[in-house]
Amino acid sequence: MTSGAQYSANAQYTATAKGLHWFMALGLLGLFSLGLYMADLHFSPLKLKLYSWHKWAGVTLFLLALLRLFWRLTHRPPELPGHMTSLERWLAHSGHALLYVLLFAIPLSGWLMSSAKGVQTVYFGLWPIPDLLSKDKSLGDALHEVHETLNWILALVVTGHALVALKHHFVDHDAVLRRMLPGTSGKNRGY
Amino acid sequence: MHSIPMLHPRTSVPNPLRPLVNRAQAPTPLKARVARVFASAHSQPTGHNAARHLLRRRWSQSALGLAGVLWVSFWPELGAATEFNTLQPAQSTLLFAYKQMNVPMEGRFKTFAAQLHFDPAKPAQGKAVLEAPIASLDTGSDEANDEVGAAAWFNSKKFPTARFESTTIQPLGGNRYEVSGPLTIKGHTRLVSAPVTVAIQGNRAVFDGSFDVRRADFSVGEGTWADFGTVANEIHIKFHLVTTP
Repeated sequence: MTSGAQYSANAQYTATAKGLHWFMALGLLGLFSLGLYMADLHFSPLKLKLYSWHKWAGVTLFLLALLRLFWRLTHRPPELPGHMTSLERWLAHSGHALLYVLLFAIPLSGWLMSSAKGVQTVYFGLWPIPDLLSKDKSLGDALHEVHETLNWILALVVTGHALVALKHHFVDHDAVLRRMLPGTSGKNRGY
Repeated sequence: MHSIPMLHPRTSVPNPLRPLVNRAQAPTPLKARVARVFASAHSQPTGHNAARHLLRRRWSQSALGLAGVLWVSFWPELGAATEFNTLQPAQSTLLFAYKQMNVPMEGRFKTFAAQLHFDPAKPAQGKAVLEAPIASLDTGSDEANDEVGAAAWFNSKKFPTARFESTTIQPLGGNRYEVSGPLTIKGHTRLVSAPVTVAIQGNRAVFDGSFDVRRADFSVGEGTWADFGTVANEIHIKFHLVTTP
């Protein structure tokens, strides 16, 4: 394995970055599954509850995405391994940028969709979040499509993200996956 | 005032509503006397003495009462004024607000009918009957609209119409009135009252008012929907009625 000038196999993400990464990964998986499940339910009190919980969780992940972006901009992440080609680097940066864009675009589309459908988001049933749009059925339906499509794009990108991380670990034998794993110490394990 | 047969003394026995109406209008001495006569004639004293007393008084009062009936029945013609009896549906709204998971929602009746009789010169003798088809109910969400006619909600096959009929109109001062009467939804009747503001705008009379009901009083939302944590019990009903002569 090639060690680039700035690359260190010992470098780790900060505990905060790791925590946000994995918490949001679980949260997104849960929200994605919940979204798919609840959308096809017959109209019932359970459905109304699930929609509200989905929105509350979505707002929470949106706030965490803000925190995460702030953290990312103020904490330089470990460098990419030196063996990566310039195309691979470009793909890595583009992929990560796209993930960040989706982390904001998806909750925003959900928020806009709720407004257009005339069902305001009231965070935890306590704090009303202002409606950005007035009620408009066709716009609400269009935003529903946008929210769903963005989520499928996210599912694709996250799948790619995970596959590439596994490729780094099992094929390239570098530290890219390990340095994001919780509890992994900074010790070089010999790769 | 011939357009208010239910209240008209010539076509019906003196209505218990009448004395209330007259009293509330800060009546002239004669009207006050008529009002007192009617009020006492319709009161229900208890006990033997009270009954005998009432019997004695009835003879003397019936003549006066008849005079009052005749007087009141002719009195309206003295001041001929415009009556606002025709609802303008396109300009009128019947809305309701409720909370779903603590989210404020607004719905409306897309169509409704009203029989209205309102003479600005004699507002307290007005009458309002409102009927709203459940089929025209827009809850604010498509899914809820598909569900709203079901047995658990309004059971619109069996109870297709919500109905309100005013029985008393009491002046509250200025252009405000307290309108009360039975509201019937899904076979349940509850007395409701609403403060109503009347604005005369040229050849239009505009009535604005609102009141609260509890859906459980009308068995609206049964079974799994009975839980107020999802859809709140309190429903705020708001109306804006534009009428012309």
